[in-house]
Amino acid sequence: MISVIYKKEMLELIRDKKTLVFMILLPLLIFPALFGALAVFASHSIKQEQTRTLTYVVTGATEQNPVISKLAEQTDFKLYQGDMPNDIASLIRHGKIDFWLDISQEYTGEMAGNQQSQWQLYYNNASGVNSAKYRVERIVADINTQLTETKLIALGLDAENISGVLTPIKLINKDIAEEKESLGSKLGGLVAYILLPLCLLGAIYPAVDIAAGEKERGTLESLLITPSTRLDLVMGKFLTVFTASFISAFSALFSLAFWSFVFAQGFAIDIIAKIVGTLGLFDLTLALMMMLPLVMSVSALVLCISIYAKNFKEAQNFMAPLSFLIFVPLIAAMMPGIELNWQWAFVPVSNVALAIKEILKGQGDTILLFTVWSSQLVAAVALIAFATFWFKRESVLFRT
Amino acid sequence: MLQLNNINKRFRLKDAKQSNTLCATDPRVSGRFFYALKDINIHCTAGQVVALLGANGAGKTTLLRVLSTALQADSGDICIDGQAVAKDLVYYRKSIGFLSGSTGLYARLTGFENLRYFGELYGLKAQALDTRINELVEQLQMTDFIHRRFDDYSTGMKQKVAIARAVLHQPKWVILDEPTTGLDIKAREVILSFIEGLKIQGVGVIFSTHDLSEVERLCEQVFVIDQGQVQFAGELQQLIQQGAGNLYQSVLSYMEQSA
Repeated sequence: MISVIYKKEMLELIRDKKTLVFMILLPLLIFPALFGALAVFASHSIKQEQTRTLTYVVTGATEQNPVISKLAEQTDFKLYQGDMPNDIASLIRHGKIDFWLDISQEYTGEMAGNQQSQWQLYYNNASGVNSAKYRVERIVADINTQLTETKLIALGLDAENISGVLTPIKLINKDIAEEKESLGSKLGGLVAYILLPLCLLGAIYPAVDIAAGEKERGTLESLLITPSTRLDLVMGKFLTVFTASFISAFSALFSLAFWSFVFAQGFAIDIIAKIVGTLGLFDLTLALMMMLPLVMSVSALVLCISIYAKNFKEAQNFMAPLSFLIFVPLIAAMMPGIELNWQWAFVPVSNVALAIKEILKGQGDTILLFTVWSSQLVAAVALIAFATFWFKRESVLFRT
Repeated sequence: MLQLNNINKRFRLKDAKQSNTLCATDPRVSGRFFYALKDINIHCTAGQVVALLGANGAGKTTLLRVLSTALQADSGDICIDGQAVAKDLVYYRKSIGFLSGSTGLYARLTGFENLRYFGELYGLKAQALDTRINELVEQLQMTDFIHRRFDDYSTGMKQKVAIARAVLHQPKWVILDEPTTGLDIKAREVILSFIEGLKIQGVGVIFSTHDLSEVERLCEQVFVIDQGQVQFAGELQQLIQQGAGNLYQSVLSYMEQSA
């Protein structure tokens, strides 16, 4: 009986264009395309910002000031040649220059007296990606090093010992994390962050359609009076929602791999090529397996919510807060320093996200991973049992 | 024989406000409950066509839904052939066919697929099911459209498929909630003839209607329900006689008695 219900529900779902869009097309095309486009756009914008020619104004400096010659040497810096107003900052506001460096008038005296000279750097970083500060700081750092070396040599220090005086201790970082571990840690949270909401999205529409939708269209009653048991009904519908949700996740993973390959090959983006080379198909399959019981829980939950709703619209309203139930633990799992342990293993959603992170790092503790998987499975079975109980209640099925 | 003994059904009202509003207009409201059916006793003889008459909101649909097992009575019991339904719900469900106010069929499936689905749910084997569907397609004149999607159907076509769905598994009793409402003359005639055919085959039919000509044409037994209670139970002829030969007057008088 379950297979009869399941086959019919799937047939109806496949014939519904809206479901196909949410279940397959969205995860397959739109999201990865959107993320890919964003990645390309962001990378292009940052690169462009770092290499674009900056127009500048320097005030208070004499011709001898090293910053004048240093800035003039740079091919990607251009001195502003226009009229100079009293309010030089207005040139930044009107986009005529990128920065204004105001040198201390006392610079020569300060240097002679071994005093610190303070310069003001004006720029506009409202966009958040203005590179003027970073690029000028680099130039000033070079001048600082040169000036310090000159002063130390003048004080009689041997040129070879200068680095020992300037930086008595230098910390040399040796990160022993393998590339896979490092990438897995960074990407693990992100993969879960993309996949789990897609699972939810893939489950919501079919659940609304085959529960609240059936109520609204008046087909539920014909189904309730057949000899099939409520468990048959719930299982048939649950399997349909689960399949839709799983297809969403699978489509997302497939497209993630596909689009990563396309971007890596076609656009020669280093980071994507690195990801494709580091994360194997086995890891992604394991990640998908880890999600199975969570997808089951989500499917059972959305089915319970949907059958409680009076109609399609109410069901959709009820589903909105459900996103928080997914996103909050997902964000928690993405926090730096949060690792899978025995406490986190029992926190729904977070545990799966953390487990996926561990799998992609290639470091998962088998017992811990199995605990996460089985605890989610227990939750899924409990939710299916609740859905069956819920489907037996007249006050739920015929709620007015 | 299909018997309903002391059936009661109440619905919990949403809130006190709804209770207060309804309480002023409907005597069936008491506290936070709406008493939809009160002590319903109905005995239907096998193979007869039974009409349920009453005004809108009288309780006919609730009664039919209880009979179909879509709703559960709060008290009382339903018996089929002397056996309580609660003892073997599956047997009872296989013994009845129900057509609710809506067609209860799936818009994205064809008429044929709808019938096949419900046939499988009733446990019919593939070959027997196909034979039965073809038989009904012919009887209800559905050949031209049965393989088209249900959402493309006219009201009459939908109702024909819905009736076919209700009788697909060859039940002993067929329960129909206003089966001819909204149909054109031709579709209505096909359905009334089909009910007559059921009667000839010895299938019992219980149906609600507002059309007294249908009652006169088809029924032996009539129940008039008002405000959740049976006001009249008996033979059609008896009811006609009470209205001095006028069925309309007679039914109306039972409705006015409780008004």
